[in-house]
Amino acid sequence: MAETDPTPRWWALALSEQVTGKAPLAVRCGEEEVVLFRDAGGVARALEDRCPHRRVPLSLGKITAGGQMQCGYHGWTYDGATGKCVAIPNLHDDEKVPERYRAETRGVTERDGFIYVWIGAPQASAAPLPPSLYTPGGLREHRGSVTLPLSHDAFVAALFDGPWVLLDFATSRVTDFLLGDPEMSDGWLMLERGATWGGPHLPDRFVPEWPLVLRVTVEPVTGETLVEMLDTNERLISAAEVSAAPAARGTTAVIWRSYAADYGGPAGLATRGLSMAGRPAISVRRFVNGRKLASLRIAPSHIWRTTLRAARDNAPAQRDTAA
Amino acid sequence: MDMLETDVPNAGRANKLTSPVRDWNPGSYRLRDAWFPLAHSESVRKRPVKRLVHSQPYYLVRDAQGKALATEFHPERFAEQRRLASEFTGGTGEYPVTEIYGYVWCWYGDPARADLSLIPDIPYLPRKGGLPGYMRSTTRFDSCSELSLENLLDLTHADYLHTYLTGDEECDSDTVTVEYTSETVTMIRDQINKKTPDFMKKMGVKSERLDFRGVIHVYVRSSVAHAFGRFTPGYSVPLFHPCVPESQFQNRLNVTINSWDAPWLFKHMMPLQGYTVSPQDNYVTRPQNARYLEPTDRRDMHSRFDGAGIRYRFLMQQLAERQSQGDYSYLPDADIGRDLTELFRTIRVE
Repeated sequence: MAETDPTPRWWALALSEQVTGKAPLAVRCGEEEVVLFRDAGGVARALEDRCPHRRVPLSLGKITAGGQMQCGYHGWTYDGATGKCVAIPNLHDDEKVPERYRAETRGVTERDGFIYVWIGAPQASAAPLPPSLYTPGGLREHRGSVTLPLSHDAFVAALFDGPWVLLDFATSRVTDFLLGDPEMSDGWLMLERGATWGGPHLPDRFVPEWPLVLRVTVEPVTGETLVEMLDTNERLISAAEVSAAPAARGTTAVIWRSYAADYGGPAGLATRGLSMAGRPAISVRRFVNGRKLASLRIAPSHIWRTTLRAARDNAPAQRDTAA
Repeated sequence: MDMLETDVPNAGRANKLTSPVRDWNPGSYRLRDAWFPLAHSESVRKRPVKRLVHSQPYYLVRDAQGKALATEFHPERFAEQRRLASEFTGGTGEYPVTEIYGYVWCWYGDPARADLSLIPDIPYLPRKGGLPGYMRSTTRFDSCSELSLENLLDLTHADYLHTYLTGDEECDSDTVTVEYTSETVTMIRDQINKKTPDFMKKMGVKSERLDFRGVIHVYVRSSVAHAFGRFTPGYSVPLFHPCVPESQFQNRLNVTINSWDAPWLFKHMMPLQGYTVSPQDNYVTRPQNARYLEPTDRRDMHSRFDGAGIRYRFLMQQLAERQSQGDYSYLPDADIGRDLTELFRTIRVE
């Protein structure tokens, strides 16, 4: 929803592994273009992806041996922490770079394998990260990134109305059977629905009880989502953290991490075995079936939209505070 | 010392712009009354080829006697569409056209003001054309012509984008001199004792260090440019570099490189470098273009190496302002057709 929601937020825009000291990474959140890299100390840095000299994306450049961002066009070099231009090649010894020459910095922090970037008024970047819901576990963690040809709004709505269109579950099948309406808790919207182990099955409408529960817990603005597959005793079978950001031309950039939990029984063993063999228990599909997406009924996403609208109505006070 | 945004190094002229460069909107300036080298002569045959200047269509074709013609409409539909002819052909449907230096040149503007003395001098190309095909190429840039010319006017970009060909930035001294008239900008870059570029080594230059002198001479109104480089020891690279402004998003380069005094290998290999250099430039100018489409309050920052580029922006805006008031004339200092042999320190090739 970043296209229309100006509320400052931390957005998870990259996986920790994607941000290195070797090559810059271009990411985007709505109209905000950001270049991510690590400085010489390994600390993640974020600058506006625009050289103030000739507006070329800094992400086309390189990271110097000293961990600074060098534009690939004319070699202007910027410090990641302050944005200050520290070098213009071939100046004379008595020439110095003016103090006001600097790239815009963005607040950046790292947690649980995700790089979070502050999108919004820079003065408010001291705002704390939303609480962590995802704790990496299992014997093997999987991760991935994909850009999907649907809007961020449609992506989040589909997480509520039909997560199976977006997500792949290795050993289970998610149904359209809702276990209640989405509930708001500490700023997150949580929804549960019935699920079964994979394999032959009766049509959903003839199944009275569900052996599994799929729980999605969604941050309403960013769409950052914890996905949990549970049994009816709420024991965790697998979990995933999915973050999505609005990308160019109405697409959505998605990053995710997941793992199979230490869950017993043949089905649990199968899930963990497949995970160890390279098949994630939960993953984001690389392609979205447009027909299936279009046919999703509007159901819990209606409550998400209502919640979002109410939050926006209250937003001006927050923005004033942030500014 | 700090580098001020309006400081423009140049030789023997006032060192300040008379007013600050306003918001720079490259691609939006459609300057008229100039000759454009729309095609290599060899590209124009009996079958019409279409070219554009600021989206204005030009159909180039040869008549039965081999004379180049330029029409506003496809020759097969010329008779029926001629009544729609614009002011650019004075209502006739036919543009002023001439052929020299191996190019078909067409006039963009009021045909009544088409003057052959406004064709630039190209001392390193024979006036009658006829150079071998390996010296010619045509490439396309995914940006407006202004950004391609800014790219050319600040040769420090070559240290990063074209290191293999021109070498890196390391040298004993790096001097940029800027000269200008009301219609042209000239940038001269002298690098002393720089590392010999890998390409030059492969072409037989044995010295580990060399001097480089690059002269860029840009005609603001027509986006025609010369890029005359000389490596000492080494060879000359005389490059005719017209950036024909086809649209706000694209310009076409009909390039000729005539290293007439270089050995056979260099003479043949140098023109081929355009096929790697152009994508390297396009790598930055393509994304750059979108970032200049909308006006913004955020001004670009400059270094002293940008003096020529700033002057180019300023002259472009001055010309645009004059033309918006109906003044399409050339001022007395323009001297578009002036002899450039001295500037390039070259002989005239016949």
